Amino acid sequence: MNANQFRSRILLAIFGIVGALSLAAPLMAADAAPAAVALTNKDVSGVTGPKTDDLVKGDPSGVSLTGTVNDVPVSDAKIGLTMADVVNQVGQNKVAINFTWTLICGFLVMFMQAGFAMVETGLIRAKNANHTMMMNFMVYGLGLFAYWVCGFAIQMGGCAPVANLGGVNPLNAEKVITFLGKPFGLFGMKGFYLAGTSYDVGVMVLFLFQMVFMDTTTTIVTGACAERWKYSAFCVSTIFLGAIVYPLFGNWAWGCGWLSQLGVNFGLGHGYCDFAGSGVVHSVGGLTALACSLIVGPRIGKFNRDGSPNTIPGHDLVIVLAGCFILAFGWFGFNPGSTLGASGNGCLRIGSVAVNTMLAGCTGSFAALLYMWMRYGKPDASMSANGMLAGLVAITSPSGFVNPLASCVIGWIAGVLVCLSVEFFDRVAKVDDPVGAISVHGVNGLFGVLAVGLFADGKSNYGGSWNGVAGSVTGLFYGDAGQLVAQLIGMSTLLGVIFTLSYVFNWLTDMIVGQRVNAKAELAGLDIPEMGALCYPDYVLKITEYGNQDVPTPVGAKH
Amino acid sequence: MKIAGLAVVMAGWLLAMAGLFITGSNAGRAIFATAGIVISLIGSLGILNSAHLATVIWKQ
Repeated sequence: MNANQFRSRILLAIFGIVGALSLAAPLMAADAAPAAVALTNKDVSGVTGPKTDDLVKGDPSGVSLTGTVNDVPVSDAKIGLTMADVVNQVGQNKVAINFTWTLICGFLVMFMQAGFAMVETGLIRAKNANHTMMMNFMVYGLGLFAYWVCGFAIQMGGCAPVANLGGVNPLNAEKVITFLGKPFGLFGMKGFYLAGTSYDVGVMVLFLFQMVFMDTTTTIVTGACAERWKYSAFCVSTIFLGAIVYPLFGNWAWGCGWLSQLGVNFGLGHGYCDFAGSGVVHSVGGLTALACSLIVGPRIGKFNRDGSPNTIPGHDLVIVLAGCFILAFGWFGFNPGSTLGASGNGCLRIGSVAVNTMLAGCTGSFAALLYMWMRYGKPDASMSANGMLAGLVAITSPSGFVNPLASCVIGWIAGVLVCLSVEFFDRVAKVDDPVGAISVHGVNGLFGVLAVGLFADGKSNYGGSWNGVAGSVTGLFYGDAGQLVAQLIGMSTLLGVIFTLSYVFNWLTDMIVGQRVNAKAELAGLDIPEMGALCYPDYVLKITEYGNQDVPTPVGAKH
Repeated sequence: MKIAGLAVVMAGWLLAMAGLFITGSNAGRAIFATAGIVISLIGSLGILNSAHLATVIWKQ
């Protein structure tokens, strides 16, 4: 063996050893990992916090003096810090994080009311601005009252336990009937007036978050019936929606009701899955909007005698688009907040939910813009806004179960779907919907429900199970056809039961108090006849061929 | 006509629900549910809407 051969063999041996070590490293590391050792009181009793002399100097870095063992409450000062104290504080911290997250997201959703008010008011004529704004303003008060009295109890009265919020254990009574050997949860029975045992910190957080969702549903209807809806009829309709219709479907989907148990009782995937409410919030609102639109009928001037539709432009695109952005912002509370927490049980997926929401809104507006540009030669502002909202509505239900690529596809489809749907309701069905609420929320809400059954990728894991079925929600494209069937049953329930319930009640209201204003009031604009005050008193409103006061023009300007 | 429309809307849902008990296969249940959705749409956008369009304001 010469020197070169010797060196080669040495090098080969070194490479061999390094390679073997590299391959064995993970195994060795696993072996070297310290075994889990249970901590005892002895381990924590010696932990000391910073001294008072150091604390009085201030803590500009925030690294070592603030948030120490001094901040952990001790249950018995004589014994000192125990493991029980530490563990209890860990549990309290988890629930505190979840409370804070859920409340802040609820506040964001509440702010969406401003967005809805601006979008709807901007899309109607100036002569009805006060009326439309006041409908959007009062859905908050009317809906909240109805929901506090009985809506919340009907929806969530049997939903316990909700682990992320500390259990909400007082909400433990669900009315269940048995039909052909299968249990059907129909409505909750605890939490009326938030009184009695439901006076609980976790229940309060859940109430706030669910209440603002309900409020979103009620505000959808006001847009579809704008410019001809009697204000008194609107008040009655909103109370009924907040007290009965919305809570019923909310219970079936989110309150341990029968739709959520389709997986447990019928073996259909994870039962009806609606992460943040494409069905519960948007379809219920959109289908109620359809029922009310049918009953109040189209505005004077919307259709010609031959049935062809006219475009009645809104009066302020600036507030439409600004309102749309407020809604998109609020949606970051709507969808990520629906985890009801940020700590534990797979809640770290909030980042994914937020990105999915963002992407679907983006592709929705882009698709609508392109569709309108290609079809009519111009990029349409109001339909771009509706496209963004349609994408957001459609991703609401699947946002917790799908990946970013699927979100883009869902948003894209929603953006085109909303344009096609608006044309369908205008030209074929001849249903007058001034703001496109039926198309944005009703149609795309149903599409969102369907999308869960198609696109859910089986990667989400919220505490190991969903709706009582172990594993992750998985759609047809990833191998679970049963999930698609559960979603179809949900869609059928929305179309068959919720629409009918809304229609019958509003029909009865129409017979008793009347839903529509008289023609004279409609032509004059509803601000004075219904509300007693103009929204823009310093502006002269233009007279159109229908006798309508239309576009606001500053006093003194030439017409 | 309005009541007939509502009856058809409800019938669609009942058909979808019936599928849950009639068959245990996902394909069968999907067919029942889809048929139910279509029937409900015919009831609401077809029959019920036609009843409203018969007396609509722009025809008067």
